[in-house]
This record gives sequence, structure tokens and C-alpha cells, in this order.
Amino acid sequence: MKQTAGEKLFNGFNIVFLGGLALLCLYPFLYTLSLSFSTAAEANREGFHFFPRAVSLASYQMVLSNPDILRGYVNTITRTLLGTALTLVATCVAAYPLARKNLPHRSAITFFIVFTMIFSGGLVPGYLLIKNLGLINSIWALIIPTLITAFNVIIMKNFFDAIPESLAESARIDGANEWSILFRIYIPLSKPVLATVALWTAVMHWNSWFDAMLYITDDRKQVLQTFLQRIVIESSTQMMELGITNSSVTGFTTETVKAATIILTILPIICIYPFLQKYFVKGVMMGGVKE
Amino acid sequence: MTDSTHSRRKKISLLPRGRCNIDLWLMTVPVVLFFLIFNYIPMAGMVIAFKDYNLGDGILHSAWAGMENFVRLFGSSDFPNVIRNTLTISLLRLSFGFFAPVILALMLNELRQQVYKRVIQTLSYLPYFFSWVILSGIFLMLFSGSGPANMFIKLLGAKPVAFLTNDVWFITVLIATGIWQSAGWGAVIYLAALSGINPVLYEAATIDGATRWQQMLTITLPCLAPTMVTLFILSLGGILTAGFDQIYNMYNPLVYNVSDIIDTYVLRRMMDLDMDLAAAAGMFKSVVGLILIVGANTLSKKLTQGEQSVW
Amino acid sequence: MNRNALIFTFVTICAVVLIVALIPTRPRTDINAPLPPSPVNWSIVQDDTNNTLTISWLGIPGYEAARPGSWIQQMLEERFNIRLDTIFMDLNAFAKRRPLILCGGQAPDVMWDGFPTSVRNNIENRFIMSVPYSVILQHAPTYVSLLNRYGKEAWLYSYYRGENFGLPTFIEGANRPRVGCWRKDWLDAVGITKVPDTVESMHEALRRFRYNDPDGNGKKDTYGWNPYIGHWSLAFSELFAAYDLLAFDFVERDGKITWGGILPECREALATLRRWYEEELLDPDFVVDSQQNQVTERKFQNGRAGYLFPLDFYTAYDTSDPASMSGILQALNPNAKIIPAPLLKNRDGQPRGQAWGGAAHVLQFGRQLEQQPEKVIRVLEMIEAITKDKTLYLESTSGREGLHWTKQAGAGIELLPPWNTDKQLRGAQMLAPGGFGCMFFYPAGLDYTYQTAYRDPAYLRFEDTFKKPEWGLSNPLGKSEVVPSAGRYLNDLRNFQMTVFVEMVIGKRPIASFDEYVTEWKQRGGAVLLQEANDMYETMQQIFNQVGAGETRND
Repeated sequence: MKQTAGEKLFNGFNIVFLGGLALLCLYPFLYTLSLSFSTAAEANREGFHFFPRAVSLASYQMVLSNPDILRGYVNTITRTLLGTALTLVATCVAAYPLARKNLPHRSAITFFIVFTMIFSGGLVPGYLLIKNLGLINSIWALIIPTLITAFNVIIMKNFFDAIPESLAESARIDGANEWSILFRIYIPLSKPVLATVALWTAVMHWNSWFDAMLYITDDRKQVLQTFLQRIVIESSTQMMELGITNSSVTGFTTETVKAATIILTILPIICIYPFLQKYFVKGVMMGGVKE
Repeated sequence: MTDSTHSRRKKISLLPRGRCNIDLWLMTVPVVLFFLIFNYIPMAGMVIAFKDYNLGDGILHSAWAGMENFVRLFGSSDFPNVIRNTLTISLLRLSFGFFAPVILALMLNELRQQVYKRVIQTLSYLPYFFSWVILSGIFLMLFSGSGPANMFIKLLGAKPVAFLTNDVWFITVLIATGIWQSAGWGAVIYLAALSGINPVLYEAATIDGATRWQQMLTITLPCLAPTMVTLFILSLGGILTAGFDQIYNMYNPLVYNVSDIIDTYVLRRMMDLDMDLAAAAGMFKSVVGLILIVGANTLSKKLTQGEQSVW
Repeated sequence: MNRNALIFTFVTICAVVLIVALIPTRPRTDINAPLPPSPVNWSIVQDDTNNTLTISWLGIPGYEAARPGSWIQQMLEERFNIRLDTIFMDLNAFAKRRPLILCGGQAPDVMWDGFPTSVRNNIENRFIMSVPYSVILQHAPTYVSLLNRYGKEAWLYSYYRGENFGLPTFIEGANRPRVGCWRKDWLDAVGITKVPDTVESMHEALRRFRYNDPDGNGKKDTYGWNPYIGHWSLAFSELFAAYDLLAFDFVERDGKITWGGILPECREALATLRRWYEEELLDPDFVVDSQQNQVTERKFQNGRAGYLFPLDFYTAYDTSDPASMSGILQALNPNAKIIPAPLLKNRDGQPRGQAWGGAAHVLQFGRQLEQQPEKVIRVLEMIEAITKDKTLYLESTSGREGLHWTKQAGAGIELLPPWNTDKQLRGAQMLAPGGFGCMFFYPAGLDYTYQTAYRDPAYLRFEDTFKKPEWGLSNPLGKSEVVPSAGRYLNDLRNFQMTVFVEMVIGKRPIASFDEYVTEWKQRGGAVLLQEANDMYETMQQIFNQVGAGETRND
């Protein structure tokens, strides 16, 4: 295919512009990474941090010998996997009827759901509900309240709306029930939005700490982000010292320990996006659709 | 759409009827129950906005305060300024920040090198994972009086700029860094929408001799429109939420007058456990959000003859 | 969607708002009305020490490394025949989860609280019970006498509507003022031999730091001072103290209470700062730098300024510790050397410095203990025993001598292995030697009375040379938050004041407009606070007389 001069110019500009933008976006990561590997003296030096000029692994050694952090990893991974899987299924089931034109009152039901995005009862009733359901200190307190969110349902419904009703109709004539239309036709055609909702949910679960801070009182069941909050936001020396089983290890400062904690916390979650990107390939949705 | 218009004229019936399948109801009922239990029941707590809430007495037994909490909220001489700041920041965020992810997604979509595209895509959403505590440190260093941004300006021979202490510049920095932080993340949904476009459409357009720019205008954008409209309408709900975390970590006493938003104002005036004031502020924000969302949805439905609407 | 549903929603919301608006407004709680009487008849309460009592205990937040069943906990449990159900919270949880567990009806039996406003809320919300002074005096007389000596203002935190709620606490060392530090090598380089101790000599040193190239790099890239204003209590506080005031707190003038930030002396101090800023002695980035974590320190470490405030713990000056301020400075610049800054002298030639004051916090008792008041008595007896018995005090704050630590001649406490290297283990057992020690179970600080013999002599030398308690300037009401309308106005006013002061210093607002600022400050609620503070000051003496603190002075 031939390109016009204008298109070539645009392509060049596009590549350079996006490249520059990506580098800008990379800087906080590089900064934190470099700080996390720096020696104490290096970390206290002013100016840009791209690459550590003097390398120390002490901060990582310290964070990784913190028993709370390691348990937090396990709890966060459990929460994320379980929460994402359940949310995906539940969101599909919630969104599908709303996208079907033969559900009576579907627009009232949609409004009923959207309304929950705008109004909320606040902390106290939420806490009392979780407490009365007996979910305090249970991983379900972190999963169930956000199992279905209005935003996910609306986005999913939006994508389902684009699937021609005729597909469902012909399947019904072939004797399929609604469940099999959902799982055999709609879901396979909606991989991009499923990947999006999965990413949103996984990231939400991975990053959440406020609910865990309220509902989980036992540190053995606590999630990683709560410990991150203690170290990074509250600068808790007690929390940091949990990682010191031999105080002859030096070469870290509170700042390098914070940086190492941040890197260890975000690294796993940023890695899932590249894997989900294969579901964003063009034409995936319309593959089986003949208009 | 047609169904519900008909059903309005008929007797209201909750039972499945006509072509509706019992399975659809089986799917809907638990979902409605879920929202009832986890969202609507706790909403009873909103009533504390109208109470002199005593935690020991509980929500039901606390004394009614009428509109007193709202009087406390609106009564301060600071409040008009706070509303103005909140709306300014929020509207600027909406008008620039809303389109940034769309443009980013479109630009990414035009990249032909798949590996490069994936790398850029992944890098662009990195800032989303850093809290403002970290990011603000980086930006305050970058834009401070003696920071790299001003060093560069001085190299060019210009006068240094008070990026962080001048009212207008501060808001500019706030909006720009806010967009930078979230554009890549926001683009994810548009990239998903883009992958839903039938390639046959592009092939046909190419045969008709349409340029890439024309293809973008006539095929890509219309296909993104439903997602854009939905997200726009939903984002109106948060019009009075101007980004507390970012502002709280970036502002300073010299720009309080332009950066004092509802959330910082409530935080400052709220005594420990003074939940009724927070509830009043939350209710105020919600009601404004509801009016805007309902208005926008109705408008969108009118303009598109019922094609584009959230509900 | 059907329009009916929309209309219905709107009508419902409007109706609710209207109906509620029509409900007559009840005045908020009258703070002068007496409270319902306590159901406890203290004269007949008996505590049989043979009974094991289980007490849930929410201590000071921040013991994240602690584990239930720590050594200190077990020691106290055995000694006082109690079972402690410890609740550890981080700062976030303390701010956000604690109110929720209170709402859920799970108030702990014993609950620490650091803020007078929060104690009041707990009283108003009926989460905590009243404990008369007579009961406290009966079971903890030694504790009361020390409290009255070091921090009697704490009674203002626990007294409310004519009754006493909980046990006020004190920290002896908080009566000492805070100090900063100077770059000694810079002072030497610019030819200043006497470390500045007046506003004038400070000015001269800062001026030379800016103009005489103290780091000898041939560039004019150094400032005198990068003031940290991130918290009101630290903003220029050493300079304000030289004018005998706390700018963001109540101060006493001629037997009346007034606000430091509206006094004519404050205007003078601001004019001085304005002059210094004009002469470029202050780093112009100070406002933004203060918003960030440790940037002020980092700039000082990197030789951008020659004076830093505060730096008031003696270990900061220990060059052998690479993590101390001295150690960090020397790693970046081998010639760097710091010395503590003497307090600036006021116009009478008296050194003055801002001090928190010894009045600290309140240990509250959950209202459910009205049914089991013997638990309150057991806790009071425990506090009294720890106060009276030096060995027990050291054990409950730092661990046992010979088991966890030993005393070295001419030095402080020396930890024994494995406690000396394994901080994880130490944290889990709540052993925190030195400083205040573990304050979870005994939240008062007898850091000088009992620990003098156990402290590093270098520490005591530092404290007695630079931080004499009689130089400290503290709020006559303890904390400004004690006045009833503080929750409504105080943060707003401090914010407003901070903006005005910073604008005056950098020249955005003329010093000449000081009087207009004072008028506005009063209009924005300052007048109410002043009135309430003066009312409180008058009734304060009555409270002090009631608690037997009428005659004692803080020293």
C-alpha cells in the first residue's frame, strides 16, 4: 500500500511523539527503581535518578525478609485471582439481560444500577453491614462488596449492545437457552471488553487497601497494599524494622526502603497488561458475525 | 427501546411476558438483590446528613438536625470560593482529560509496528500505578523555582516561571500532570472498543480511496462514539470530585485560594468523628451528580433518537 | 427509560429534602448542660486482685511490629492478674477504623487518645465513661502528683462539662524546647566564631552564608536557611520564640489569653523574615519544598543551606552513625560538620524555644466498664505501681535488666543478644529501650525522673545544654484544640494564617496590611476562639484546684 507524503509525515510524528510520551511515563518508574537500588549516600544526593551510581541490594534484602510483606503477597494474589474471576462471571450475568431488548423494565433496572454509582451510604453503614454479615477478617469482605460494580456492568452492557440481536434470535430458534447464548455467543465475541474488565478488576483488587484496612484486623490476613501504606505514607519505622533481623546490614535509608517496597508491589500487576493485550487484536469481535 | 415504550401503556407487570425468557429474570433478580443489599441498604446511612449524628445513639436514634449540616457546609464565607475552585478544576479536567485517552488510543491505533505499539501501550499506563505521594515529589522537584524545568527556561534566556506558586500556572500543572497520569489507563477501554471494529469496513473504505484521516473520521470515531458517550455521561456524576489525592499532595499555602476544593474544605472543617458534615457534603455532591447524569442522558437520548443512552 | 421513574426519583428527593428542612432544628449539644449522672457508685466498688480480669486494650497507634503476647504484655499480665486483649492499629486504622468499631459497639475497655477534640467526641457520643478525680487520686496518688507537676493542662483534655473522663497523661521531656543546627564548617569558613544565639547574629550568619561563598565553590549557590513550614508548629517557630510567642497557638499576655499570631510582636517577626527574604537569605523554594517529604533535609545535606530546624535529638550529631544527619552529611561532603543551634534570645536576653508542653494525652475507659468498674481500678493500680516502682517502669517500657539489656558504666542501656541486632524480634516483644520506651501500656513519659541513670551521658549533656525546660514556651491551655469551637474554626484559621504569613514573607502581601489580617482573623471565628479560651482560662484554675494542681507549676 502506498503512503502519501502527509501520511508518512504523520507516521513519523506519531512514532516520535508516542515514544517521547512513553519515556515521560517511564520516568517515575525509573526514578523509583534507581532509588531502590541506591546506597544510602547515593539516595541522599540531590538531582535526577535514572540509574544508581552506587548499587546496594540492602533495601530489597530488608523488604523481602519482612514476614508481613511476604504474607501480604499471598493474600493479595489470592484476593486478586478470586475477585477477578468472580467479578468477570458476575458482571457478564448482570450485563447480559440489560443488553437484551426483551427484558421488561430493562432501562429502569439500568438506572437502578447507575444510581449506585452516584449515591453511597458512607463508611458507617458499610462497616455495620459487613460486620453483621460476619465478614470481618474474612477475604470475602474484600471480594463480595465490589463483586458487581455499576461501572463495569454499564461498560459490559455497552459492548453487548453492539452484538446484533439477530445472532441471539437465531440461536434461540435453534433451541439454545439464554445461558448458552451468553456463554457460547456473547462472551466469545466480547474478549476485548472482558480483558478490559479483568484488567480493571485485577488492578482494583491489587491496589485496594482501604477496605482491607477497615475489615481486616489480623495482620496475618492483611494485604500487601496496607503494608505499603504503612511504609510509604506513614513512614512507619516499626514496619520497616520488621525486615531487620540483623542490624549489621546497612546501606539503606527510609527512602530506598520505600522505593523497594513500591517496586516490589507494582511489578507483578504492571506485568499483566502485556499479556492481556493479545485480546485487543483487531477484528476479534466480528470474526464470527455476518451482517 | 420500543418494548419499554409499549410497556408504559400497558399495565405494569413484573412477570415475564411475551418474548422474554425466564432465564433473563433468573439472571437479573440476584443482581438486583446484590445491589439492594450492598448498595441500597447502606444508603439509609445518607440520612445522617440531616441528623445531629450521635455515634453512641446510632443512626436511627440520633436527633434530627434539619438542614443544619447543610447550613454549616454552605454557611462559611469560603464556600463560594470552594465551589468555584472545584468546578474550575473539574471542568478543566473533563474538557481536556476526557479526550486525552481517546486521542492516545487513536494514535496508538495508527502505529503499524505491533511490538512498538505494545511497548508504548504498556509504558503509557505505568504512571497510573504510582500514588500521588510519589508523583508529587517528582513534579514538585521538576517544576520548583530552581528545578530542571526552570533551568531549561533560563538556558533559553527567558525569565523563570513560578509553576507551583502562581495561581494559573499551578492549575495548569495540576491538570496537565493529572492527564499525564491517567491518559494511558483511560485509553485501555478505547483500545478495546477499537478492536471491536470490523476490518471489512476499512477494506471497503480503502478501495473507495479514503485516506487514513478520512477513515478515522468516518469509521473509527463513530465506532468509538457509544463508549465515549457512556463514559462522558458517567463522568459527569463526579463533577464535584476534583481529585483530592493529587491536590492534597501538590498544593501549598500560596495556592490555597485556587486549590481549596470541597474535599479539602470538608477535611479541614471536620472534627474527628464529625460524620454528619461529611455526609452532607457527600449528599450535595451526589445530588448535583445525579442531576447532571440524568440531564445528560436525557439530552443524549433526544439528540440520537434513543440510539445513545446509558439507560 | 420511562420518564415516570425519573420524575418519581426527583420528586422523592425533593420531598425528602423539603420535609427534613421543615423539621425544627435542634440546637447542637449545649456544652454547659450537665451530663446524665454516672450509674457507678464508686464508694462500694471493690476490686479483688485474686480475680483475673480480661481487659481489651487499644494503646498508642504505630506498634506495627508488635505481636500479641509480647514479653512486656505477659509480664504485666502475671504481675497484675489480668489478661490483656491487645488491639494494635496503624495511624490509618486509628483514624478510620477506630470510629467504626466504636459505632459497631465494640469500644475497647481501655483506649488511648491523643486529641482533645476526639476525647470530647467520645464523651458526646457516650463511648467512654467518667472516672472521678477522687477515684484516680485514691488509686494512683503518685501518678497524680507527677502529672500535676509535669503536665497538669492535660486535665483540660479529660474534664468536660464538669466531670472527668479518663486518665490524663504527660510526657516529661515534652516541656523541653526544640532546637535546630548550624553547619559548623560554614560558620568557620565565613569567619563566625560565636554560634549565633540572637536574631541579629543569626541574620549575620545567614547573610554570610548567602554572599561569602561558604562552600568555596566559587558560585553563589547557597542560601542561609530553607525554613520548613509543612506543619504550623514548625513554621519559623524558633524565630517567633525569640519574640516570646507561639504564632499558631494561644499565648498568655498580662493574665489574659490571646493568639500569638495576632500580636504586634508577631508583626515584627514577620517584618524580620520579610527583610531576610528580600536579602535572598531564605531559599525561595521553601514553600514548595515544605510540601514534600524530607526535601528540606535533603537540601541541607547537599549543602544548599547552612541552618536547619528542627534537629533536636542528640544521635543526629553522632558522626559514627552513617544514618544520622552527621553521618549522611559527611558521606556527601567529608568536610561537613554540624553543631546544635542555641536557642535565640528574646529581648530580655533569655533563650526561648517552642515546646509542646508536658500535657500529653488521655487514657479513656469504654462505657461498658460502668458494669465492671473494678477493671478501671485494676488499671489505675497498675499505672500507679509502674509509676512508683522504677524497676517495673523500666521493665514495662524497655524490658528486663540482665535479660534484655545491661547497664554500661558511662553509657546508656546496652542491649543483649539477640535483641541488639534483631529488630524484628525486638519489635514483636515490644522492647523499645531508650527514649520513652514502649508507651503502649504505660502511656506517660517519665523519661527524666527514672531514666537519667540509664541514659547515655551524651544525651543528658545535650538536653541540659541546649534544651533546658525553663526556656520552653508552651501553650497555657496545653493544646489550642481544647476550646469548644476549635473543631469548627481552628484548622481553617491556621490555614488562612499560614497563607497570609507566607505571602507577607515573600512580599506578595504587604506587612503593612497586618492589621487587616488581624481583623479578618477575628471575623473568621478567631474572636469566638479567643472568647472561649479566656473563659476556659478562668475556669481552668477551678479545675486545677479540684485536682490538687492549683499550687504546682510546670517545671
